[in-house]
Amino acid sequence: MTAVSDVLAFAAQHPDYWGELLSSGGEYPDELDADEVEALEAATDHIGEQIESILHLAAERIVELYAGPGQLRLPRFKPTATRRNQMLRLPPPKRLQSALYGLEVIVEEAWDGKSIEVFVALNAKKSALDGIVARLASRGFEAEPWEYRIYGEGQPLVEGVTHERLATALAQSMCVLLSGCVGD
Amino acid sequence: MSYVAWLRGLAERMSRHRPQPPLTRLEYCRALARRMSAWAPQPAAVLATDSALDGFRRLVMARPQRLRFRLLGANVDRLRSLPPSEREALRVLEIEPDLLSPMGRHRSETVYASVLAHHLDPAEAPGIAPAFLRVFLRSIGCDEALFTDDLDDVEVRTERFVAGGRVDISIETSRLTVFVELKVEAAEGHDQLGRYRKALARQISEGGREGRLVYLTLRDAVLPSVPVDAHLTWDDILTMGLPLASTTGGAGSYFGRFLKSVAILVERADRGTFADWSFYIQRRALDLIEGGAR
Repeated sequence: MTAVSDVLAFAAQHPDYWGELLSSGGEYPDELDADEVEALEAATDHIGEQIESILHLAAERIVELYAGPGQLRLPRFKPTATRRNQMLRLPPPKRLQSALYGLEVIVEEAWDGKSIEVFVALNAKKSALDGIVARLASRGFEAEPWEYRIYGEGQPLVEGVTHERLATALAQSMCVLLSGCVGD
Repeated sequence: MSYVAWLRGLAERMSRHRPQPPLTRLEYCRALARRMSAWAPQPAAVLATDSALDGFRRLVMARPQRLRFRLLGANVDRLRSLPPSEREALRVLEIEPDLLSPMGRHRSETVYASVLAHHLDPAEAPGIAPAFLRVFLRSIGCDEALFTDDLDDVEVRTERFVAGGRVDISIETSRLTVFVELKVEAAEGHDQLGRYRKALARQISEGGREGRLVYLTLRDAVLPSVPVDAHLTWDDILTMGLPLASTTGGAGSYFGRFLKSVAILVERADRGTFADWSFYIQRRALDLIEGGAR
């Protein structure tokens, strides 16, 4: 089983390096020497592979929840589209299409800006947004919407945690969010 | 060797040559795949990656502050060497707070359209709009003669209904019609620009005016589905707006806060001042200010 590597865990704990590593698109500051550029490129590739694995596993688990295994063809990531590769969008379950645009698994800065975490989020339609938030609150889950997204709890990228465990935690978090789409 | 031992050896060798039952097609494919996987140069690739990753561990992870300080130091040197006009433009990106973050609307397309339209409308923002509109129209290839005489009578509208949809921003003078379709997060709707192109053609044929269809996106890699007259990015809006916001005093303050929201959107600034930003954001802000954004 693949686990979060020391390199990914380091990058997740250093958001400025994360931004530099994953957003540079092959352009690095002139101040870096060739060895440093090579090291950053290798780390960028490695982190991209790890993120792809985590997002795909999480997406597969989430799809299994509502459609059964093997029901969705997941997109392959483009190696050069590093920024785009930090989010995976899934179609909503058919019965929730009136409330949701989609389900998302996102790698981004935690609320405090001090680390990078993996989140699941509902991309909700405006008409359904308040209802979902209210239902989640009534069930003890304080969801803070951001634009049209309702985020679940962030999962930290800690060295040694298996991708499977992260994916399961993210799917569970998505279960909680989806429960907000269903009335009492 | 005894005769018996020789016979046993012969029997064993013969048994190795016993004819195998023919493989099914599936078994053949599996065997082929096993053999091909053995050919793949995986060990070499893994070794190369590992050694390069060791470089990352040694050069970056072991001393994260060293590289950070070096990059931050280089950014500060660049900041100090900016000419005064560019330093003033950068100062706009340090205004706190920006316009949209406190409202939680920093990715809302409709809000960006409204505020941008406000600053293009001389009737709404007389302190900024005449100059900003002039720069904007020039940037989309409009000849000065098309708009200089009647900038006071320009009509700027948002969410304008046309055949085939609602245009985010429309700008009209007596001789010119401009449709601006802007994007923040969403992708272009099905044939959206094609429909606006037709609506624009109808519009200008009725009034004998010139028309421009403009597509404004986060990145220039987001290609329009049909040819447009001008494809701008939000970086272009910053490049046009920052010099104006930095020299227009009070009238530029609201505009400056809006531009800071745009800069946060495209990662050319962050909350707080330059010193609070990561070296990555600092570098992107400096690239923009120094004119190397695109």
